[in-house]
Amino acid sequence: MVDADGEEEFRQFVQARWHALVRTAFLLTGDQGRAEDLVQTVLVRVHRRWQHVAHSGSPYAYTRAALANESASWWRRRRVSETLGEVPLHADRAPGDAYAAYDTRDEVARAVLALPPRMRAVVVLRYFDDLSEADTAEALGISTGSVKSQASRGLERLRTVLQQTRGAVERSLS
Amino acid sequence: MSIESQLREVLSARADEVDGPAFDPYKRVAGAVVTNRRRRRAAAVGAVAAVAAVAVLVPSLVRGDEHRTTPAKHTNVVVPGPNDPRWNTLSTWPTRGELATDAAFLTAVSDQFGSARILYAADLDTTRVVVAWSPESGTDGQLTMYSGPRGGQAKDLSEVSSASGGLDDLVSLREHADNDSRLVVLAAPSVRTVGVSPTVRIDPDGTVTRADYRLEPLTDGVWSGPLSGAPARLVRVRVVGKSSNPVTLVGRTTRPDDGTSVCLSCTGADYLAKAGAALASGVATLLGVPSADAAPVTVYDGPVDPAVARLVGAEDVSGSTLRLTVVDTVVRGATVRSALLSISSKKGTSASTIELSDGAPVDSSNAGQRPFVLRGTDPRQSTMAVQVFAPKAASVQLVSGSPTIYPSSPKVPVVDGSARATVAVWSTDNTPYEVASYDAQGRRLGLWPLDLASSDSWLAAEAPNRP
Repeated sequence: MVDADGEEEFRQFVQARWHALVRTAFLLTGDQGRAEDLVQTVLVRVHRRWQHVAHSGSPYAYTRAALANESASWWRRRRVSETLGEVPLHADRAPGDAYAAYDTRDEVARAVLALPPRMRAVVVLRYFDDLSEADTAEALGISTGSVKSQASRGLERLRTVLQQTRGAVERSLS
Repeated sequence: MSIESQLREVLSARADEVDGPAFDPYKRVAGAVVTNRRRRRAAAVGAVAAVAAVAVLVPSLVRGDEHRTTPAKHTNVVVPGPNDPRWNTLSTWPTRGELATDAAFLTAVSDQFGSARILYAADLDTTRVVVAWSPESGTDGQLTMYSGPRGGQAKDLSEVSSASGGLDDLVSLREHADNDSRLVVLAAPSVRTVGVSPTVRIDPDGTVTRADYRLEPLTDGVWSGPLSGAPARLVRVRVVGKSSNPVTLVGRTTRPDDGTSVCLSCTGADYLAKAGAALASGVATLLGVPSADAAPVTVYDGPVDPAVARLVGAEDVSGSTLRLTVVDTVVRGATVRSALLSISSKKGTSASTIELSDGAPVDSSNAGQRPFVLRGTDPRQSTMAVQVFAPKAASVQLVSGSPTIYPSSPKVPVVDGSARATVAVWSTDNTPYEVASYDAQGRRLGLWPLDLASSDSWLAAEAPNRP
């Protein structure tokens, strides 16, 4: 149980970090509502361990790591296919489409969501939260080598998406 | 631009689509903490009323003179020494308890429940108990307590309690969720002594005082002894130098079900009668006193502004009927306040509740005058919306100790038992506001904190001899 001082620390932590955690969770889940649910689930667990977490050096890093880990099992429970929907990986565009940049961004974001949960977590922690390979490995409880290989494979998939998207744009402009 | 740079840009832009919270995230998480805790307790408490409340110390329940302990029964296995690395984590703790050498039984339990590791197995006073650890994704594991008839087989056991994540290297279990029931404490053998405080006392003025800790010696990291007058939720176990409570697993209660529950399909006075009885029963159960000794007094029962309800975590309130019930339960001079928000679709197809307060001691002498407050902060607008439920006041006002920074609100008349106010806030942090209530002549009735104490905070009251 958390004592009164600890509860106050926890309250301040939640209020200060909620939005940042939801941003990361949004990239892991693709839906704000589910992101908030995920963050809430993790914070409930963090609360139970708060006396330890608060003195662990970085409660935020601890919570973010728990978030990334929880997202993998959380998504498995909820069937990834249900959240991805039926939107094609890349869409046809009219020549000179002003929204091309946005669409590219959207498709890459979709491609990130289509990555396997663990690979997605690696990509988000490495390239959104800017964690080092070592910190990502520690956060996810996997080896640095695994982080390297997962990140590499993830980037390869995203590179393919970008090439396809560019190809579609060039074809539509020609 | 490299693929890494593009990806950073894409992810950052995507994350910018996330809206800031239109609610107080702490309130949301705190509510979930309460719900989670209750869910974890639910299997153990069994027949507890639908709404949990809090417990009040009844001095007569503290029967220290009946205290006796029995040393933990030794097993025939040699328990590894304190420096053995297996004690570093629950996932590698050796099995202890008098059944630790019963390999056939332990195997049968593992096979039946898929437990990764059995930490404790023993016949206690009336039941056979097993505590097992299993891995769980994203956490440091799950502890589960199984219980069955004393001397029973694995197939006779069933899950009675579990705890997930946040596990510490100190575990306690109560054989039954009753005042008088055996407590077993499991720790690493390096822990020689634990302090056990059986309960807290709540004075009529709402002051909470924890009963003194008794120091108990552990044998091979285990202490087992009966507790008297120790409601399950109020017991606190401490090891010298550790700040946190152990994970506590609780068996079923032997207390008969009093049949009270919140009736979400009921309306009007029928709903209020059942909700009040359930809230009072929750208090009585946790107190270990007969339900007849817990008397509910309705402070407010009526509608809630949907905009405020949304800010305190109620979802999908449009087209729903919102009903707030605030009840003070009086038990032998002490008063505990509980509040429940029910949300019913107008078509009557669904209903749910939010437990806004699972019980907080208040001063009995002025409880009837004390308002109940719902509030939520909208960080995008830097405002705090407040609804004050004060049926005995003519008007209310939010006042702060720093009026130049946080201007007081105007006096707002109380209509049908409540009043709405909005004040500016700089952040979602601590608000400096309190509520002043006034009578029809403008005389101040009192100045009250906005919030009730959370159970985490008031149960954290410590005894002077805290180990």
